[in-house]
This record gives sequence, structure tokens and C-alpha cells, in this order.
Amino acid sequence: MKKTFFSILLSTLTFFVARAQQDGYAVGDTAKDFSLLNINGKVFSLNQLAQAKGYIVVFTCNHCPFSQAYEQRIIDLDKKYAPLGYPVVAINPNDPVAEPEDSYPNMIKRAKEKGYTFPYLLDSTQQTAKIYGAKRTPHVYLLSKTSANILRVEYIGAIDDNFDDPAAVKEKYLEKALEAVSKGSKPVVTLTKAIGCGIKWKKP
Amino acid sequence: MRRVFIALLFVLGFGAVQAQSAAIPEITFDQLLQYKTHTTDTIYVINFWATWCKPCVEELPAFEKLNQMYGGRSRVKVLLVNLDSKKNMDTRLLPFIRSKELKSKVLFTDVVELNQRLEEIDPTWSGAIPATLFSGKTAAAKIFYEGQMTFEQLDVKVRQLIKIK
Repeated sequence: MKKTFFSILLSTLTFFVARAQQDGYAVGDTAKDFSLLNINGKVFSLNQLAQAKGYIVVFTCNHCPFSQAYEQRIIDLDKKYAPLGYPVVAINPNDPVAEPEDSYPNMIKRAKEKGYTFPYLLDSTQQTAKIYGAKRTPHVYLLSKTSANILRVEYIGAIDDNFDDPAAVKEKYLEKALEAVSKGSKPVVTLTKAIGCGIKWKKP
Repeated sequence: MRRVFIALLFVLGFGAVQAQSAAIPEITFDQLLQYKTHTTDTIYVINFWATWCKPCVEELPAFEKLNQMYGGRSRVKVLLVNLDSKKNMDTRLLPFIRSKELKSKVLFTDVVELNQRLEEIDPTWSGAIPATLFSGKTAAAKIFYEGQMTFEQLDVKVRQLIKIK
């Protein structure tokens, strides 16, 4: 009996691990913390913001026009939601060899110029992007922290439905998800897709 | 006199810009989807690209070569579906097409509308570009590929589809 239970558990776990490796996270999955170099020269992990109720993890970069189009909205999200317990954590996953504009020095420069109020991290091994399943920039993962300190993936996708014109936005997907999560409920829309710049993976 | 000349220049310039805009047909999502759901003998090679997307620009010559090789009266049609911002059409897209002397058919579609229905192009599409849809007659003859492609990779897929009846 015990053996059967364990083998089922094991196969279930193997299934989840296999899926996680293949496609990254799905909504409802447990997200892993990471240790990545921040633009201030220090290594940053989510658990350093111990007070946070969750995190807005955004895979983004300097060069991509979609990232640039959303840059001010990302800054505004941090201003609005960090005080409510949901800070923005931005991660640049691009290979600087493929895209020199996304190098670490250029990240520091851009963050300073635009006045980033949040960590801007370099995913130099691209492992975090792979574990999360990020494919493009910008690509958002909204995480909530459970009472057991587990990070639950609540929403994956786009910030809203109009990259081109903030004034023409009809659906603020991420903010809606944030409103739901901050009230302790589940977002209605948990997955959206949008055109973005493909992550520049290191050439094998 | 000089003012009239400047005004004339301006009008002509404006006219020229207008004419260029008309050179790139804009298609709706429904029109775009018809290239996927069609049941003709044509094999459409539909590439989603933008001028600002480096790997897209790098792979354009491969699509141009494919268009040149098959092109004309063949069953294979290359469509370059552009995803630049509409406001950059005259300032960026048209000069780009001219400078690269693109011969393949370029269509423009609205990204905001496309975003709502990406899944209908292919459920596996994350939204990253470049991405290419190969669309033959039958359901078995649809291949979606996310990422940059070489001419050889394109050609293999096209030959594969030509064999599927």
C-alpha cells in the first residue's frame, strides 16, 4: 500500500519535474526563488524582500521595443503595488553577446536614466528564464506568497492588451490579477499571450 | 515664389507618403487566418517579423531566397507579415522594405488585434518573434515554428509539405 502510494507520488513528481523542465511554470505551480546579480552589484533573491506578499516578476530588457513601450507602466506598477506588498522584480535574460544593448553595464545605465525603483537582475546563465519558462520580453509572472512561504504562480503573460498606446488599453490583465490576489482570491484571467521579442538565448 | 515651391514640395511629399502607405496592404486577423484555414493547393510560408527584431531581419534573406526559388507560378507563396507599430509605417517600415529591396509579399497586421488571438495561429506560439507558419491544404500540412530559421531549414519544411497531398 505504502509502496504503491510512493510510486504514484514519485511518478507524479517526475511528471511535474519533467513538465517544468520542458515548458516552465503553469499557473498554480510553485515558483523557485533565485539568486541573481542586481544592478547595485549585489546578489538579489526574492526572500530578501521578506515583507512582500508576492512579487511581480518581469522578464524584460533594454533593447526590445515592446519592453521599452511597457517600461513606464512597469515603473508605475512598482510605485502602486510595492507599497501594497507586491514589488516589481525585473530580470534581463538576454545573452549580451547576441544583444550588446542588454549588457550588464547597459542595464545599470538604463535603470539610472529611467529611474527604476525596483531590482533589475541579470540572468547570466539564463537558468531562471528557463525554469520559469519565459520566452519573450516582456513576460510577466505574478507570484503570491502563501502562509507556508511558498511562492505560487498566479498569473502569466502580458501586462495589458495594448502595448502601443497606454491610453487605448481596455484590459489591464496584470492589475486585475493583482487586485484579485491581494484580496485573497484567484484571478479570473490567469494566462495571456502577446507578441514580444524572443529571448536571445546563448548559442550552444 | 519660394514659399509656393516649398508648399508644392510639401504637398508632393505628402502625396508620395500616402502612395507608399497604400503599397503595404493591411490585413485583419480574419483575413490572416484564411491563410491558415485555406484548402487550396498553395503552400503559404507565413513569416511574422518586425524591422526592430534582429533575428527576424537576419533571416529575411532566407525567405527572399525561398520566394525567388519557388515564387512566380509555383504553389509556394511567401508572405512576410509585418508587426511593426502602425505609426512607424512611413518612417521605418517603408524605408526598410525599399533599402532591403524585398521582393516577397509584405502584409501589415495590427499587433493589438493579433495578441487577442495568437492561439488561433498556433496554440504553441509564446508570442516571441520571429515565428513562421507553413500552411498547406490539410490539417497535417500545417507546421508552426518559433525562432530563427536558415534557408535549408525552410526548404526542408517546404519540401515536406509539397509531398503531403
